Amino acid sequence: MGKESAKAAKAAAEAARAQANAQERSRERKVRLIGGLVVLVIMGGLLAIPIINGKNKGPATNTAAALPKGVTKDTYGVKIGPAWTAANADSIPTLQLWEDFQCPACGDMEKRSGAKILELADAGKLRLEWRPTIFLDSNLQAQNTANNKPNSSLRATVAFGCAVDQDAAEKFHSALFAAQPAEGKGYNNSDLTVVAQSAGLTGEKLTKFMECITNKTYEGWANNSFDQYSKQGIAGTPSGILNGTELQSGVLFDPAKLEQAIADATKK
Amino acid sequence: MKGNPAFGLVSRLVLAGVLLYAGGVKIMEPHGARDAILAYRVFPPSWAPVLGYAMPLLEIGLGLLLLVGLFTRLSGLVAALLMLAFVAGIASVWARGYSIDCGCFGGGGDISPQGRAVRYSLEIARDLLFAGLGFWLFVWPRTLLSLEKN
Repeated sequence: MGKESAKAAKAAAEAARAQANAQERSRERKVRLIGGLVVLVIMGGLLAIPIINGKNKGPATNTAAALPKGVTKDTYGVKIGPAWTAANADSIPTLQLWEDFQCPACGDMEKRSGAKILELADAGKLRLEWRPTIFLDSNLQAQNTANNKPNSSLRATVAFGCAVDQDAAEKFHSALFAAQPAEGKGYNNSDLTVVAQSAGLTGEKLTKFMECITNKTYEGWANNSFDQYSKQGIAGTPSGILNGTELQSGVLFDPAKLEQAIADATKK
Repeated sequence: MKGNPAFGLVSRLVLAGVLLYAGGVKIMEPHGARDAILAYRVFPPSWAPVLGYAMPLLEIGLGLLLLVGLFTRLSGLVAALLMLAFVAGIASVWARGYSIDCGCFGGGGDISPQGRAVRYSLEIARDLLFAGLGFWLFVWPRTLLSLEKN
């Protein structure tokens, strides 16, 4: 084999390699284009899922809804303690406490700080307002339904409103959180009647409470309070908003720090 | 240096699995994703619904690309940056004293502060590991069983 033919063979091999490389590059361009488009189409298709799911949003505020005793349309919250009507009410701090009766963290917070919060509210040192929300009903729908207790947050909030009418707001609220089942188990009306009994409702008051939950008297109110929660963009539950500023979890869950924060807010 | 194409394949598949799972769970419950984003208290509340839709879509898109090995260099970089953003989010809520469920794989919202330090540390360590895999793919995008060669 001469030098010439060896050179030619080498050149031919190089040309073949270059061609193969070019073919590979062209194949990759095609694969990237098609693959990229396929991924985009899949993402576009998935966009339909939230749009379909997005339709089952909570109802808008119904201004004609019946309200529990003392509740007003400006907040739909339940105001607790004598400080609200005290002569120096303006100098007493407000605590807006957002809770979902099915939320385990709320149950934990109540276990730690609940008694202290009520103590301060009852002593007139705090303008406490309970702001119920029912956002967990959609998150826990599958578990609640599997346990035959769908929309448990809504039902518990209705029952809370019914207890407010029977002057048992504080005791019912404490008893309900004390009886909170594992997340997703939920409540039915007979569970809530047991809670009302342990909150001290008997006789005519218990009968009226049961009528009220059976008639779902305060569903509209519960939805209105939830609507406020969504509109205000509350970050989660429990959320404690002291004089308009959200408390850190470390404060809300610690009765000593919470009392200090409330005392500090009072001085201002 | 070409890295190790076999380890690259493992990185791709692990990241793809994590992203597809996280995105899939979130897109099935977009209210959950929205609430999880709200709980971070980082973005204005009005952004949460849009981010609640966009984030799972981004995760699924990246997951698919990494699964088949397309745009590996770019996907690896974006996945790594996304993981670092999650780390920043968790560190931020931790530093500001809130107790939340990271909402990484659905769920989300405020939770009890019990065991917070351990939980946040593990989540940050896990996301840093994922970010490391993403950066690996950014530096060495050549992997086995990939639709592209470079």
